[in-house]
Amino acid sequence: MAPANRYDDLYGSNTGHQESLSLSGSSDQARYRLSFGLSESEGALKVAYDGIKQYSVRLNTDFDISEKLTLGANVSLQKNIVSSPSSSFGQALVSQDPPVFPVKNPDGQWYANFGNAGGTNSIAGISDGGRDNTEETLAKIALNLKYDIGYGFSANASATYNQVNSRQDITILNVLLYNWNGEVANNSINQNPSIESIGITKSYQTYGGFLNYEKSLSDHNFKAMVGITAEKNDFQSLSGKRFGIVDEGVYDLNVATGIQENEGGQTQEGLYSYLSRINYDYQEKYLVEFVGRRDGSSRFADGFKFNNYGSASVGWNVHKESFMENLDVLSNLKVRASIGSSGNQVGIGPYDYVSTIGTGTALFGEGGTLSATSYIDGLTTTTRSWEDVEMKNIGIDFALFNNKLSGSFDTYERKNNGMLVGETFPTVLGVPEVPETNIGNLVTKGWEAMLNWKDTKGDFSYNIGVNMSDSNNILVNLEGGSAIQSGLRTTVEGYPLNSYFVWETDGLFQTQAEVDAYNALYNKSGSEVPTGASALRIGDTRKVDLDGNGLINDQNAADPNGKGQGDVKFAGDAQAHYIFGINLGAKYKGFDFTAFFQGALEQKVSRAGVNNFPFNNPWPNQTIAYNGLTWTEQNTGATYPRLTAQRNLARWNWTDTDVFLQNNRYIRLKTLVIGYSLPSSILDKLKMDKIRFYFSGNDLFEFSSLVDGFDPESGTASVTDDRSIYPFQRTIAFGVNLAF
Amino acid sequence: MKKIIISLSAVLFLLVGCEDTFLDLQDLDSVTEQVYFDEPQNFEDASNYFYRGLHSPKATKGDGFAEITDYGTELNGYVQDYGQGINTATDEDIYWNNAYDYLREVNLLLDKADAYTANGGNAADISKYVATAYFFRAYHHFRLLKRFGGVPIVIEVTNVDSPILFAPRNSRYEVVAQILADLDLAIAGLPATANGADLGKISSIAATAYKARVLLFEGTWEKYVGTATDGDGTNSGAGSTKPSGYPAVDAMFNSVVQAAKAVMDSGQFEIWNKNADPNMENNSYKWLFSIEGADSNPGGYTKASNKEFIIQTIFDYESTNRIGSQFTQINFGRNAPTQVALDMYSTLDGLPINKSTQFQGYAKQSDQFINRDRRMWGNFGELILANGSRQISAIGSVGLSNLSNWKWTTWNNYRSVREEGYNYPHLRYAEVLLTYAEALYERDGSISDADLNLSINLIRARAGIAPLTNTLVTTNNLNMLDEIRRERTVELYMEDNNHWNDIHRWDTAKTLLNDDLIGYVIEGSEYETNTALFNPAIAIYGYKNDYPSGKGPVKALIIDPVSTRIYSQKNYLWPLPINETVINTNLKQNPGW
Repeated sequence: MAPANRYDDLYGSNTGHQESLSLSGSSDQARYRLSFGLSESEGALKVAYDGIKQYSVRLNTDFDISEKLTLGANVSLQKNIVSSPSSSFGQALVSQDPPVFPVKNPDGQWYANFGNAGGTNSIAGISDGGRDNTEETLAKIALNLKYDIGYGFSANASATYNQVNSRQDITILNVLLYNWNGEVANNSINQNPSIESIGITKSYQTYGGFLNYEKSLSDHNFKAMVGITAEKNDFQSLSGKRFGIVDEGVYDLNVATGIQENEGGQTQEGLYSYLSRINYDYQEKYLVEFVGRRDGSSRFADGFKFNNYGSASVGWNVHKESFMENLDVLSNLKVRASIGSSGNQVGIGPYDYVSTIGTGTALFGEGGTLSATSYIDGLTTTTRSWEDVEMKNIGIDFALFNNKLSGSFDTYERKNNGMLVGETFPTVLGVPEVPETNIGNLVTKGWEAMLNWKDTKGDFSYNIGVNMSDSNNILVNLEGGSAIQSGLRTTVEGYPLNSYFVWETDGLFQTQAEVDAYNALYNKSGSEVPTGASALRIGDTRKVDLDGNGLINDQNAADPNGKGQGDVKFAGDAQAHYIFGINLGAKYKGFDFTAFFQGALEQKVSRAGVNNFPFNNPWPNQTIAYNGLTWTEQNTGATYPRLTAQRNLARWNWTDTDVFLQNNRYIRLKTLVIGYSLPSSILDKLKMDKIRFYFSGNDLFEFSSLVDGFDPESGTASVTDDRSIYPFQRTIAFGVNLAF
Repeated sequence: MKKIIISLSAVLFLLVGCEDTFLDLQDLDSVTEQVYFDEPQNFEDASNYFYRGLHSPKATKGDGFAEITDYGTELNGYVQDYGQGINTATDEDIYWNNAYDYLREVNLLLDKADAYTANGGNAADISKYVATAYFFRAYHHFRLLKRFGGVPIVIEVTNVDSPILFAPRNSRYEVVAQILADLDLAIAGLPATANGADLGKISSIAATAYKARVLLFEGTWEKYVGTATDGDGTNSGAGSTKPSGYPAVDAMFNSVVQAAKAVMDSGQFEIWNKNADPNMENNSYKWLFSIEGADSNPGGYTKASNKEFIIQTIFDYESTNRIGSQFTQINFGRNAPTQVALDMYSTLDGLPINKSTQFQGYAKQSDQFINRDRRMWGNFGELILANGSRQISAIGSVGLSNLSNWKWTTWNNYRSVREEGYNYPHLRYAEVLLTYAEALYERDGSISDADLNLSINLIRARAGIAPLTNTLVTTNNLNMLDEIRRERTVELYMEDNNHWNDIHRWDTAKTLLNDDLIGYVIEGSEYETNTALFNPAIAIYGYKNDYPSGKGPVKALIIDPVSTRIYSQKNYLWPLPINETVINTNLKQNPGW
């Protein structure tokens, strides 16, 4: 054993580059722009390539076929080449690579953790465990035809077609590990090596046909539109897999000799909508708009496919009124209001209204032969339909001092009626995943404000903008309801979505007498107070019997708080609140500068995942964020409880307590760009239109109130199962723009 | 110009006409429920799917090692909170969830079978598969019964509006009656044998053997535990309501005897005893559990030689249907024997060690293995030194004992961990013989030498120990029932939770598990004198001074003290998952939880 920083061994910094070139031009009847792009970016892995290369060509054209008929045609082709390690990426590093085992033994061979038994070594697996390569071609065509019929009528039709073809090759190779003496260890990485090729074809097509009418009669302006839109998604895949690949430097299905597997698959889904819109204004002072639409989705059963939606909005341009004419300082003032409804089908699969038959194999017989198996896949409901979203909005826009100061304020209320929510049924139902049904009613209220200032003084111009928004929701009604328990609860009637319910605590035990007294009161049947080897000790968390039933638990059928929530209390939701952004920009002669900050003033985070607090699980690497902050005999006034490797006790001490809940208030510099353009005196000599050098940086720094030091924008996870996990990354770039 | 107008209108018109192109889309890559279950093959495939629900080393739906390690009994050096009695109720319980998931699949098949015959299908064409469904309906209700006691019986296809979702619990007696009824239907409809290509499937005789297991479990539970764990059904538990016609305990034992005898008389099964082959060195028991190809045991026997497994999961190395989990490794690392486990094994004269002159005592750890039942070596012999004692390591590590359980390990590392392809027994012939003897004794209060020779003496012969006879019992002042139970404990060690179930139905768990857990005899051994082998500082929980060893009361090392154990009859049943009792308030928690 020796100190070994497995994180530093694996991660470092990497570089990328990006080039683009575009040509544009026009004639009387046609305009075009042709652009080429090339970029490569690489993940911050030290030991293997993990990157993406992109090549793209795009041609945008516009033709005036006649005075009344125009055609827009855009085509593009893009190729993405992604190459990553195929194995050992992710959680293994955190949980299975102790920082006391070096990556290699003295002979330079991959070292097996724990000498012999450990079958993991992330760096070995990432380096030699095979590759996951994807080559993807994206082709897009968009056509748009406009025709001016006359008498105020016009029509347009559009069609787009996108196709993606990709091929992915995943090679999983066996990597031998060695003990310290250079002998092959018992376990190796990827004991069942394989190679798999997956071909996928996806297409997405949309069509639209619209008839427009526009008419102005002195002070009255009319606009009307009727139309139809339709879209369709198709997906097809074909894959083959063979086991038993030996690394001979050739990676194709043909070279593997073991068991063969193959798989097909195709899905399709579509949307179809009828639309109509009418606008009217009087002298551009009073504006009204009505929209009606009828949406159909293939994801619902017959009879439930369609739903009707509509909206109405009104506006008043106050500054256009005659009584405002003398108010020079005011350049814009507009009051708006709207009410409307729309549909949502997120969370519904393509054929969720029909049960399918799943198939597989099982082994029987003296010789061991595979027999077919089949099963009805899940429970379905045919009766659900669109979720209705009702939106009300009131807003104001204003500008002062010749548009130097401008801003807006909006407030809204959104009601999701028949929200698709997963209801919790008794598991006697026997279906692990019950489909979501239209059983919830959610009300969201929010506001958005924006204020911008811009000014120019000689060669110097600058702008400052701030915006902030917030919204709060409450699940007014949920059929079937759901019980409150400790932790993050997605849907609880009467509370916001994703509400936290935490244990109220009353400090830490400071004396054995306090522990004994607590045990005497609460250590009994039905209570969650840990016992035996995990029994409470000095320095552990004291949870409060909030409902006074003599038990410490998070349920109590007779609870006066209602919902049987026992000793947990509501502590806010997981959504970020008071989200703000700050834009800064300035120009001086050839120099330009922009910066964008982003942040939030309030967000509750109860860290999840194996690295959330010390010794949630004793075996993985541990977070060091709480070092020095926990109770010890020398630090009895600590906020956080005593460290213990008894995981039941560690979980009692930390999980979902009010003390462990953090408020995430942060500000981060998201982007910073500083550029310099050469003056025209030099450009003229070089016969160039523009030469600009720039520096840009993303996520350069932040201030955060999080105690545990995780990325404030990464949500609640401490570790993800995602194969491509990276620690938080900062990016800087240098570039040059050229124009001829 | 007009052409253009026409074409534009045509586009609009075309779109109007083709709503169905975008909305009426069929599933392209799966067969849907509407068109399935219209031929017998569909029923066969669907019944094949049930077999993954058998609790095998290949973990399915998270169902895995907790059960395999027996939750920590007095035989097991791996201390677990269940065995200590300190576990608390949890929000969810996969053994609850999974059982009901499986039951829904089974009920679906039975439902579709009704539709099949109603539509003119020939019932005889699908009767095998229907009977298989009945077997699995019994199997999953029995697993629920063992863990929770009475539970809601589900014999219909549930849906979100089924009243059964919010039903109260059925009593354990109602559940047992349902299990027996389903098993009788299974026995009637299943084929008599399942050999050749059907090996691994349930036959009629296998269902009969399973019925014997259920009846013995419940008969002894009722006899020894009685209604102590039932609760009143209104405030706690599932109550003690018995359905009409429910069998009396003696009638249950009688049925066990009949069922076991039917299996014995079928002639389909035999104890895999290859001890006549000198290459086997009397270790047939040891190599029974890892039979694969001819290289998998010293006698060169293949799977075809095994007529002992009655219900089994088939694994196969070649088809990559291997065990795939760390079953062997976990068993090896965790199920280290306590001193109690080591002292269970008889000497070759067939006597318990405290009655036998063959027992060599504790001076060296290896002495304990001399003249003992071959199963002792088979289960724990891997690490034993040729002549000496292994060092005692610190208490608190995962394996509290310095020996390991190598019951499932392959011969000469024939397979590495996760690669094993031996068949796994859920119920084997030895258990039927043990069940026969126990039920006979429970029914009659005695058992004849003839019946002993028909049953457990076949197993003892394989273990290399003298037969159990009434003379041996009376001459040596033994208790026949204790010896039958000892035989069962030793033979079925770490198989399908056998010992955990036994000590509950015998009502001995409340005593055995509420006691110091004993690691090693210290007094009179090398450990007492050689601090290199045993550093007394390790003894953080002290010693039991009167441990009843094979050489009388001696000082023995405690590896988990009684002070941390609170095992009582409450722990005989698991707590219902809290979430379920919250959602369905008609479900009353088991007494004491």
